This record gives sequence, C-alpha cells and structure tokens, in this order.
Amino acid sequence: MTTMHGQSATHTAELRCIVDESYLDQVHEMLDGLWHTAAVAQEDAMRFGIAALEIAGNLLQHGLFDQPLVQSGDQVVVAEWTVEVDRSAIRARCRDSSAPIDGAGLLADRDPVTTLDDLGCEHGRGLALARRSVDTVVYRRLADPAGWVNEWTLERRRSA
Amino acid sequence: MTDYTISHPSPGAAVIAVTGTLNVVSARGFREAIGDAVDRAPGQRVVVDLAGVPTIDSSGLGALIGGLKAARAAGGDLRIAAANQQVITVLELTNLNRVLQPYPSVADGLGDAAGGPVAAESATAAGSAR
Repeated sequence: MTTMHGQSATHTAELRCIVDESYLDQVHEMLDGLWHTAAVAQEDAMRFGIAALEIAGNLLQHGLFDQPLVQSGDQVVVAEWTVEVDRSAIRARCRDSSAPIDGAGLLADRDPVTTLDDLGCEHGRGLALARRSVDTVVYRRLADPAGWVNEWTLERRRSA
Repeated sequence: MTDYTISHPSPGAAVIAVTGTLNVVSARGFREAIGDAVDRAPGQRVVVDLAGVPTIDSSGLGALIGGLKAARAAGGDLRIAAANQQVITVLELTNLNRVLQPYPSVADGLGDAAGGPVAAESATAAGSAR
C-alpha cells in the first residue's frame, strides 16, 4: 500500500508490503512519486534514493535471499516505509520484521572511508555508500507491539 | 527485468550492453554475463555499455569489480562506458572511479587512448532520481 498526502510544506509517502523480488521496484515507485509531488531537487532525490535503495537492498539480501524459509514462502517479512519531505530535509523510517542484522549498527556508525578502502572487494559497501549519500543513517533493533523489528532512519538536509 | 546483449565489434573486444537496473536482484545475472564474455574470449577487452542503466547499487558495483578482476586474471581488461550521473556519483562515493573510470562512449572504451575516461566534473549525462 502506498499513500501520499501533502499539506502546505510537508509531503509524506508511505509503503507497507511483503518483501519479495518486487520490493525494490515498490520502493523506487514510492520515492519517485514523492519527488514529483514535493518538487525535490534532482541531486537531493538521487542521493537520498541511493541510500534508501541500499537499505532496501540490504533487507532483500539478508531478509529474503539468505533466508530459505522466507524464500520458500514458509515465513513472511513485512517492510514499512514512511518518507517525509519538508522545507529543510528528507527523512525516512523503515521498519522490517526480519531477523536482526549482525553488526549493522556498528557498520552504520563507522567512518565510511575505512569501509571503502579495499577497492577490490566485491561486497560490503552498501551501508558505507548509504552513509555517504545522506547526513544520518541509524540502525536500531527495537521492540514493537507486533514483535522485534529492525528500524532504519535516514535524513538528508535539502540543498535546494 | 535486466537484459544483457553481448557483441564482438572487433577482434579482441566484446561489448556487454545492459538494459535495466543493476541491483541485488540482477547482480547474479550480470556476473554471469560478464563471465560468459570473458570465458568465450580470454584476454580481450570487455566494455560494459551502461547507457541503458538508470541506477546501480553496491551489488551492481560488486559485480563490476568481480568482472574487472576476472577479465584481468584472463589477461584482458574491463571498462565501463556511457554511464549516467547516478552511476558516476555511486562510483565517486565509493572511490571505485579509481579502478573503474567511466568512458563517455562505447567507442571510447574500445579505443586505446583516444577519448579517455570521463572527468568527474565534466560528466553531463542526465541522472535518474531512482
């Protein structure tokens, strides 16, 4: 489900979906609709999109492709996005019901330069790339009325 | 759906034209496409035509790095061409523009010296917000 509502200076998009191979496309579509409605500058939209799609891709890899029970359909992972644009910033909160992500908090807080030093490495750049694309990336594992969830928050100050 | 078309425009060279997003879903197929091109003609120059790629993520980058390593291990090379601003930005943010310098066109990528890599400040291709 995607809903969008704009009031004076704040625009919000929401997405709630089961995580499957269409997940990244759904996040793309949600963001594209919001960028259009809120008239977000291309550079801000591009860089926020880079970070958001890294977080979404991380969930797809670790919450679907690496989980046989989820991939077979015996378990379901649900993701919920809320993205808000106001005059000063773009903010997103993504919660998902997948297993905790080992080391994600550490990686998200680490200086991204150190994570990007090995130019020959084929994996492990996603969170560092996200951190370089926005101003804030925070990961938390928290208790929700429906159970434990992963929560990511992103923020980028608007340049225009 | 991301598609790959492999052609051989000249002896010792292969071009992989990619159409679609390079992400965690398509990365495996992309790796296989590069592997096919390298295996069929070891030692050749492989140019990845990114004109049809609206966005790339870290998984797509990983596939490109894997392809570069495979091409070089076989005595050849891998270059990227016709990247849009989103792809160039992702390369710069990850420092991978040091090892994968984008060429402005496939023809430039196939050449030896003429039409060198795109300078970061001169990249003008329109980037997608996606």
